[in-house]
Amino acid sequence: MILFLSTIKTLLLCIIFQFFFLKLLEISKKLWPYITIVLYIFFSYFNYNLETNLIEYIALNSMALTCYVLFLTIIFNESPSVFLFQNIKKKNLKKIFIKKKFIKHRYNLLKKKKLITDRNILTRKGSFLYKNIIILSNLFLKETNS
Amino acid sequence: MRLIELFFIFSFLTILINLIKINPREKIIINIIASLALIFKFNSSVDTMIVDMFFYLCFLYVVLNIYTTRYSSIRMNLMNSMILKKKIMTENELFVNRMKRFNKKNKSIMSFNLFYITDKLVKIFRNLFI
Repeated sequence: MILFLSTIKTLLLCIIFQFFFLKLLEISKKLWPYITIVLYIFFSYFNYNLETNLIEYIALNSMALTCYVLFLTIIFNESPSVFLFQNIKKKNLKKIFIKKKFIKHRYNLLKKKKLITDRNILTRKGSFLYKNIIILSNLFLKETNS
Repeated sequence: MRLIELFFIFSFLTILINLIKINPREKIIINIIASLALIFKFNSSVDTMIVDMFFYLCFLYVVLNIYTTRYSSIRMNLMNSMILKKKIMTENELFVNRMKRFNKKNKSIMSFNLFYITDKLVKIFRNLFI
């Protein structure tokens, strides 16, 4: 139980301090992944209890951090589906949605993160990421006909 | 080491279930039932059971993220179009595609219910951080 409680405590402290840095100190939102990872590692280090197994502690916290970072991408990158869901009752929904330019934003992100070149060709990094997602999906969860 | 072993057991179970020719939603349901049965069967104390269930939920979330990244991510769609030298999806096509998810007949993982749950959490965290 100490293992579970210390993980929850780390998560809560991380959320509180993220709120402090991002909302109150207004640190650039672009830095959220770094702030999250640094804060989480910092608090997990201080919340470690000698009674718990170190390997289990690292395993559980790594898994919790991975999930938390994946969840935060929805918050900071804005998911089109969540956006639609939140505005489903609006009259000019299509117009508002198109104005958000999700595709253009993601296309620019691909370029910024150097996953594609200016001639729309995948870089080595982009190709590596693309192939890995396909392999992992084929392995763990895929559509039946693919 | 128990959680590392559990990670390999969950992974092996997920890979096996993925081989069955059923839709992803059914695979997830079978996965949840089988994994929870394993957790209940091999745990004698409530403490370790809670840790294992939390670990499993995290594992499941990561697997679901891999699936949604492959089949729903705009970036994956763009990269796929570039590799296959196809026309890049327009904002309008994206709108039509995403609207289909809210159709009541939609039985895929990315359905109305999933966004209903996600939406509540997203609202809380958006208010906190943005």
